[in-house]
Amino acid sequence: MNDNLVIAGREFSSRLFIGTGKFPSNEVMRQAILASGSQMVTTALKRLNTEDSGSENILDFIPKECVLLPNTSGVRNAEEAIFAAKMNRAALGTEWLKLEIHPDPKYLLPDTRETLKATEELVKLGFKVLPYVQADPVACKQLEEMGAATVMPLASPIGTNKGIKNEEMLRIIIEQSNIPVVIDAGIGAPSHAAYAMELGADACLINTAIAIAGDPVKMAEAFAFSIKAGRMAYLSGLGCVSNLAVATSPLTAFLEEEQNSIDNA
Amino acid sequence: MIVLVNGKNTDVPSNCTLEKLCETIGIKANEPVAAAVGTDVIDRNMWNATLLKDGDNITIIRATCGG
Repeated sequence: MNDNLVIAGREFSSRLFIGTGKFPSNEVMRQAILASGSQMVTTALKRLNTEDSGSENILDFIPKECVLLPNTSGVRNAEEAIFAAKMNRAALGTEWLKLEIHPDPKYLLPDTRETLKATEELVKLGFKVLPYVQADPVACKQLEEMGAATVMPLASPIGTNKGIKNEEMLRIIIEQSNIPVVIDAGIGAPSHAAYAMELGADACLINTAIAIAGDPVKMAEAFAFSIKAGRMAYLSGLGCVSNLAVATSPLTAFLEEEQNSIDNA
Repeated sequence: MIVLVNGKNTDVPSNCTLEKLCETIGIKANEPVAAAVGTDVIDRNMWNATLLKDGDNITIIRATCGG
């Protein structure tokens, strides 16, 4: 059965998206992306150092079959986000965009008002907008109505590796959404990602947990397995949770019956 | 004339294009770089047609690693 994820008309057989920050080297990043099987990879923007423009070209380390998902990290409001989006489009020739507006440097939490404002405008400008957003079911529906390609609610703050701290809100978002739900930020272990997929998330975007692992390449592969496992479990239909024990063996008390028949012999 | 490039005052010839400026900085043809004059993002195929003016505020960015 084809279980490909479709975002803005593009099919993805992998439901693991990779962020490219914090890797020990570009070569390790490249190997981790390959090991993960990911087909969607984020990039960021930085001001060119005009006195030393000779650093490595990130595109040399991202497999050609990956969709590039440039982000707007560093912007503080909708106006700056739109400028960053246009710069990304000019630099990379892509309309895919991870919209992230987090003016607060302490927790890097997305600014909902500015994210909504920017999404509305960027959709009109032809961008495929994948907004990083609070796990706010109302905001997620509003983004969907505006034409966002996905919603990308956080599980916990960026880079914390704390896992899913807002499960009930994510459940509501997943239940209500007519566009893919990508869990972005805070996923710290393959078990977290598997759980997100079991909840019915459509994909996970992982960066820190892979990039800072002792062996990022092996960890990328571990995440690929966990996301596949979680997805399969979701499709299979998980069993009900019960407070009382429910036997998995027949309760016929056969030892007692056997003892009785010996006594009667 | 003086233009501002990523916040730094830079002396360029009076007929300097955006293309020429980027070439001087050392930007190669295949690099994932974008440039804006003020808030106008200039497509790469228009760099050569974009004449800089004294006092222009130019932003040049490149794609890099990030999540």
